Amino acid sequence: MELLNVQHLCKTYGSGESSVNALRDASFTMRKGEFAAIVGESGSGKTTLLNLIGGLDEPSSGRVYLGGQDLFSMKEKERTIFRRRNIGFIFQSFQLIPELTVEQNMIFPLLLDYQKSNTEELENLLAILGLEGRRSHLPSQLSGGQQQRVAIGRALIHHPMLILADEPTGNLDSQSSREVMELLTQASHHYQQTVLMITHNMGLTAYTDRVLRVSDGILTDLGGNCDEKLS
Amino acid sequence: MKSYLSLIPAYARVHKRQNRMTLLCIILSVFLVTGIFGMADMELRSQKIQAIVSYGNWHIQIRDLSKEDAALIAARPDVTASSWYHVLNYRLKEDYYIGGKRAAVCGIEPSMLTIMEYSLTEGAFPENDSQILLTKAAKDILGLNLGDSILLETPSGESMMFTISGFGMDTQMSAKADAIIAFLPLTSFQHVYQTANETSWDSDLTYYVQFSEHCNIRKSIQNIEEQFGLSKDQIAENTALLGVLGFSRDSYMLGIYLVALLLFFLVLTAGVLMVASSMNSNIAQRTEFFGLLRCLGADEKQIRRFVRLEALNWCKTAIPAGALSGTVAVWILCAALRYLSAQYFSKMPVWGISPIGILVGALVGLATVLLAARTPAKRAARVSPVTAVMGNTDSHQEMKKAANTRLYRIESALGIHHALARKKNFLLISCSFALSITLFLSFYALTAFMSHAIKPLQPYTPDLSVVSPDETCSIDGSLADLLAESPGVKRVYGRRFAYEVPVTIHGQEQTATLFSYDLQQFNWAEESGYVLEGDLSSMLQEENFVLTVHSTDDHPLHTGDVVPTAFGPVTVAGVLSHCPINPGIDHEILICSESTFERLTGETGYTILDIQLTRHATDDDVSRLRDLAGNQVLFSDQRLSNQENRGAYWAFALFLYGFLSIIVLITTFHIINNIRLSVSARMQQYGSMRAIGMSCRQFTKMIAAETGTYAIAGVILGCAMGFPLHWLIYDHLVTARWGTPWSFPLSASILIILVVLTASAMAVSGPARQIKRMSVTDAIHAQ
Repeated sequence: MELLNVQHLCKTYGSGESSVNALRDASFTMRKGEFAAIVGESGSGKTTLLNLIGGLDEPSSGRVYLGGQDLFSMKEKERTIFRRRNIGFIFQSFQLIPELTVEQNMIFPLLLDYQKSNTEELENLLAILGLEGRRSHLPSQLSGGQQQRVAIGRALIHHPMLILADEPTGNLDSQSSREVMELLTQASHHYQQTVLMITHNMGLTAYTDRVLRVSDGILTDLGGNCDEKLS
Repeated sequence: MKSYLSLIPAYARVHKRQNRMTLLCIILSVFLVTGIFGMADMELRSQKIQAIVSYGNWHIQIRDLSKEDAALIAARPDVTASSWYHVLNYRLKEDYYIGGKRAAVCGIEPSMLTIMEYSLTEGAFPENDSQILLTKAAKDILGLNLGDSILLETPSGESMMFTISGFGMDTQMSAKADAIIAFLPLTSFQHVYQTANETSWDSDLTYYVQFSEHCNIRKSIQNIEEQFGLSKDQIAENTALLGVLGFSRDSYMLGIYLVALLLFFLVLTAGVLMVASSMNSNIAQRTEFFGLLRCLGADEKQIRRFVRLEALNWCKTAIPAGALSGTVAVWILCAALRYLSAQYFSKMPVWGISPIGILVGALVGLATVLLAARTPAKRAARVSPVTAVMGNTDSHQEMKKAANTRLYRIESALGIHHALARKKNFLLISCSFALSITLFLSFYALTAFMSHAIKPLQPYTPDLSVVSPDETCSIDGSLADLLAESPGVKRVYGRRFAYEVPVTIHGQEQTATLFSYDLQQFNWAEESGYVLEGDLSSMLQEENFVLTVHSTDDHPLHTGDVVPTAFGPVTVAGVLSHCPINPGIDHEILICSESTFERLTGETGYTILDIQLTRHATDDDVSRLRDLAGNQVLFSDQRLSNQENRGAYWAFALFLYGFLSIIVLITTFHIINNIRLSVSARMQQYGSMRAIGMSCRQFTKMIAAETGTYAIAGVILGCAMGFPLHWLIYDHLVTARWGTPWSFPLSASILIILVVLTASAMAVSGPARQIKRMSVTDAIHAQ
């Protein structure tokens, strides 16, 4: 079942001679529960693509449909609420809210919606993330790996259709990276959540179902995981 | 680049927007200090002018001093001028006359003219005992000229002839009382005195001394006391002038100095807090940058030096800008003063520069910046190099407590937590809010002082009055029309008086003064809000209605009371708070319409005709009016005293409300700037919140919660500090002098709290718009 449909997405920064085409005519689709990686050089346009899919930035042209809804036909306010309910974000530098505990950070999207969390579900998630004993800790009291697990918990708590992860293991050691990737795979396969992840680490594409490459703003679908292709 | 410090101007060029807020804070701080000190300096200058105009430019007067001691005092290097002084008929109650006009006679030395800053319009001070110097009124009213002979009539019946050697300015007293002042050398004065009095003339002789302003006047007075064995009773000080010069030992003036010192420290603290909180936020925003410097090898000392030099770099532009804007504020006020009372403040400089204001502003600016830079410099130096790799420390800083999401909604909980998380920052920002409130309330106490010390002119205050000499209704009504048609006259209004009218009030017999108002005077009473009860519209009806004036009697009159009088019963139609004459004890004031007065007393003439002049009326216009009034009436000229009163009122009011406006302005800017800085420091965090799905409305609520927390804490703290200070200042300046008890400054409190709340609301909208405009991706990567 098709969940994400990206059509002829373009993004140009600046105008005239100094304009830069960060993304050129990118089109692809993703089905529900699919785990895809975007690879590419620094400055190739990966983050631009992710920001556009997440509705964080406006494209110069093209459309993004998520769950059949056109992201950019919505007004800013509508898009914010749509994003809050349907997209989960995982950042390289975690972007946890330092004033909130592990539990509060995880349920943050629900709090923004003035909803209460399902206690059983939260306990389950905390157990899966290995954070049961840390629920009342502040981010500053956690290791990098633990912080990223909290960020993953935040992205999963409200069962979003799409999880966007920008270098989620970029600041982590190999052990933590492995744990994070296993969690994302679990989210995708067990909970049928669609995950789109940017990574520099080719090794991590082994965890994904599909690999997309961005080079000079041009998107190429490499199909199955990158290692598989190369081999 | 010569050294790493060359990075400062380069960094400033790139981060203009970020630095603009801190620069603005330093400019405002310097503006506040320069403006307030400059205004205080100009206010002191205007007070000095007023003190000299009102009391003369002398510092002490000594009684019972021997001629030898006087000569020794005159020879002292710290004495610039001195003179003997004696006066006959100062209160104009005795029968001294010149050309039929009442006269006061002064015996002085020529130096007294310098001491009193008394200027001659014509001629010179008498050179011998046969000459006399008269006030200009003698020339205008009696048509006398230089060299003319006049006769000075004394109460003994003896007359003495003098030749006029010169004319001097009319004084406030002589103009108001329609009298002439004659100045004589001491020898001829002694002769006049002995002709009219049997007592020794030198018993009331006083010696006036003017000291050099560059000496320590207090020390000089003490020295003279000791050297000549003078008692405290022998020396009287010109308290007003010495007070302005800072040399008064009067306990009341010492109270004023204490208040000035207190206000000085408040202004200083406000400046320090403002810059400190701004710099703290500025540094907090750039922790990653300092981490990078540390990462690249800068040691802690170098970082501290960097921050201090950066702060000094801001001073290069901020201090001159602040000093200039403060000076411009002072210019505007001085220009307003000169416009409002051109003659009175002619000595005020048009482009007055207050060196003390600029110097204190610059010093305070510099000291404040250096002081304020200490903590951020230390904080920046302590930044770990890891920060550069990890991102802004704001998102990694040690939090001790989580936000309370159980009690408040998420956005409010975060807003409150943002305000309370960093104790030092919270204290700095709320203290600066509180200080603004404290400053306002403290300065506001001065308005009570002003309303007690300087009575503003009432709408019915005349410039000239034509008064019946025997206080009867002897002035013909047609004179009012004649005067009204004369050039330079704005309006003429009269009152008919019946004094000592027997009345019965609540069964008690007493006397009352019954006088009439015309329509204009009733209108003034209504428009000025003097009507405490009743309705003035009934006053022009046919019945015998009267108004009374509020009194503190046990049984005051009220609307509807019927008062039997010698002329028949009258009914009280209303009670006024003010009227041109003061009610005495057991003496009632009854005001009626002209027709009622005529019906009751049968009198159609006036006791007094008051004249208000147009702004451009000249002395010739006044002379013409004097001629029209004739010699059978007293012609009272109150222009000088009005001008003095108006000048004093405007000077104080303008400076005081100038201070208050600056405080309100600074409060508003400061609150807006603080919130903006606080939001800028968290921009990256806000970016991620927006990415996760926080709406703009929720952001606005979050910033409002943060601002509200500062504002509530500031208001509580400000009221806790401001009310006791308001009481202290009020007690020192008002209660100590006039006995009026302190009352809660409700209107001022509401006003300043509203200013703080409005400024807080304004402070929320700016950053909220900024977040709304900023793209989420930019916000995440904001630096």
